[in-house]
Amino acid sequence: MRSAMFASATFHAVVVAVVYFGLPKWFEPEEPEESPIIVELVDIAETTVAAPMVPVVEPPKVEVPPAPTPQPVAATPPPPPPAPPPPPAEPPPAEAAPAQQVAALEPPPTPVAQPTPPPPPAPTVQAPPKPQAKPTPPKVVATPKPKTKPEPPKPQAAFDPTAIAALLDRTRQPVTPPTPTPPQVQPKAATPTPQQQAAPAPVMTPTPQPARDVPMTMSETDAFRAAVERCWSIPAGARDAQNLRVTLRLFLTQDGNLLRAPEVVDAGRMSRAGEETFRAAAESALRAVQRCAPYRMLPAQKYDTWREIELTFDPSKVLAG
Amino acid sequence: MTNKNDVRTAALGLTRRDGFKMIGGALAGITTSTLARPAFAQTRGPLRLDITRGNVDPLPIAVTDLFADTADGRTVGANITRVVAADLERSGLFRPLPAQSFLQRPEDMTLRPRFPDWRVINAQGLVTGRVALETDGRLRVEFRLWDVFAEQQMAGLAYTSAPDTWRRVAHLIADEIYERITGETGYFDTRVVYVSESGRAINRIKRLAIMDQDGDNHRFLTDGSYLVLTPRFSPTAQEITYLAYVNDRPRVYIYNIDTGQQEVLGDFPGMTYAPRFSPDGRRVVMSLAQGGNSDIYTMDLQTREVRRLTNSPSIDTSPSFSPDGTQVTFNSDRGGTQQLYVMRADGSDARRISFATNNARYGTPVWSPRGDLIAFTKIDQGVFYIGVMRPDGGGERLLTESFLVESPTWSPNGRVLMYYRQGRQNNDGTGGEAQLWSIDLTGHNERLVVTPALGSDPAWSPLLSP
Repeated sequence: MRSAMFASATFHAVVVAVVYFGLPKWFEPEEPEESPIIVELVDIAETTVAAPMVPVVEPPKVEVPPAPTPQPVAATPPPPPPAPPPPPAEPPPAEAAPAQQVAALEPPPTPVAQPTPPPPPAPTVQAPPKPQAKPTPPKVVATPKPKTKPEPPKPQAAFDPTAIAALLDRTRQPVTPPTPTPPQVQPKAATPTPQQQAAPAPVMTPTPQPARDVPMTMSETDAFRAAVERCWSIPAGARDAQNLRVTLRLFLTQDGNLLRAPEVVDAGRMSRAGEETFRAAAESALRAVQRCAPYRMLPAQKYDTWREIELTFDPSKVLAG
Repeated sequence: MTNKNDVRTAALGLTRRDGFKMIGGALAGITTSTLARPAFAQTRGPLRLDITRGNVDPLPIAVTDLFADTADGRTVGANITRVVAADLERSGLFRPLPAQSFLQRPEDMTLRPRFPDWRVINAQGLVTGRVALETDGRLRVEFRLWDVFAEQQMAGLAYTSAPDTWRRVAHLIADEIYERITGETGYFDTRVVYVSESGRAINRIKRLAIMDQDGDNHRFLTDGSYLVLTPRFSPTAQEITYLAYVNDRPRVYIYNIDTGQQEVLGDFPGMTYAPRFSPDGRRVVMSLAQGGNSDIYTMDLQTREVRRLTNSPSIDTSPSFSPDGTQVTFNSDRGGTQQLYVMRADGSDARRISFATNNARYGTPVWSPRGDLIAFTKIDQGVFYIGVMRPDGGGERLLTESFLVESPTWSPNGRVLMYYRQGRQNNDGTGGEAQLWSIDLTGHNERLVVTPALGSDPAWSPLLSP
């Protein structure tokens, strides 16, 4: 009996000891290798952390119109434009016809002409930024489909997660009207952008206090970068792709539009002989940023940080070989 | 993301009992790193960002019908537009938009297009133009390429030619557009010569045939009474070299396409094969087999002087010059298996450039006209591949694979490869059909090249009017 109690006590003691200390390890386990883990310190936006702005769920509604994406309008086959000629508003007839100094040469189809100079930019295209977003409708009237209108050459941004961030950010956008943009901005301004009218709607919340020199957070720059990347058709397979880095300088208005045409930093190289591929690469970058504007995902309260952006397009990493 | 701090602490891997301490440490770490976080560049300069990704979607371009005052002219204009759009589309780099989506008609754009109308349909490039039949009966075609975003003219040219050469005018226009937008020369105004095959596999008739790169203007150059193989274009003239078994004797011939003149390159004691022109078109490099050994020779077409480049007991064949003429790539089994080599044009300094990890073999190297790549065929465990690598052997990329793919040939701008693909041959002699295919250097846009009959051994011409 006593021995039994003793055995029981010992047994319990052992069990308790095992529970407390763990099973004995006969062999020292390998010391885990200490490998450094690269940690990047980035700024996290208070706004994105405080993201539960979700209640402001109108944004989805706002964003729906542009959703139709850049897929060819053709998809919705509009009836062949019937007779009604468009209002003769735009083409300035007064303008001298582009000089056709095309010298005829031999019968063989050799290129005969020098590049005919482009006619001077038509000043008539109304530029004022948003209110007159309707230059095209007159024509579209001919086609009964109103749907064609809301299809601006807009970035496919619509349904992408980064766009959500943009939406959230936008709620903090200032109600202040953008500074009137000069005529050069027409590329975007003239296209009917439903969001432009719609944008002010969801704006409701805090009046932003323009913070000076507030750094952009990773998620904010990523959203912007993703938008540009979606619009950039890489000059894939080009010769010497590693030498085709193009840097553009963008000037933006507070609502994310291009203030004026972006500049190529190394513009001189574009016109140099033998640099045709560079010129092509630079033009592809220019098309990308123009096609993607406006950049509404940029946080308005950090306008000072991104009013001027230097974007370097580097196709070398995209191409093998 | 702050978890990364924890991860780093945890990576120091302490025992379980340190758990609490560790969490405490991690919290401390977070606080510290938050406080000590380096203030981001507080510069007043522009925000700097890198864009290293993008898409490879083709560029949407609107090619409108060339306008004309007369009905005849409008027909020609529409035909030219169709060929231009087809050329651009086939390159895989452009997506011509359907004409139904256009909001502005050709006759309204004789001065200047309304660019917003074209941005609405997502066009990035716009082609307009006009056609006129001159009083002397010639055709005058004028086109302009516009940048829809910048609202500027990118190119504008006019061509005058005989009316029946409208197809070439169309190809020239397509080349001009391609060149202006990609920065590289085009390749639409070119032809392809190939071996047309008809009949059953056992007794297949092989004829030399030539066509425009889009398959039009197809015609046969030989009548099929003798076997022809490996046609190759001269890089400088409308001349081809090929191997023909006339009276069962394989010999290298030269054929002038314009004159139809044909001549034997030489009468060599053994077998000559795999002829190919030098970049200046003055020499032919080929291999010559004698007694189970084959070596590489060049022959000067003017003086008929023959020079031997390799001298090894192995099989050296399929030579191809670099575009600057200073080097030659070829394949050889001198190392045990068939591999690719590069040597100087005088035959010295041969070095191996292909190194397969297993028993893969490499053959038919062809130097790109651009000079930056060598295309080849690779046979790995019974599967054929077409691939490219740099002349130093690096950067190998396989573009396509099949039961049998062979004979890559470069477009003159070094951007597209054409080759043939052959199916398995059945025991009853059926099957084994060969067809021509093309693929972009990036491995995208693989397409069947439509020919009247089956085809193999394609060879791409230089630009017809360089």
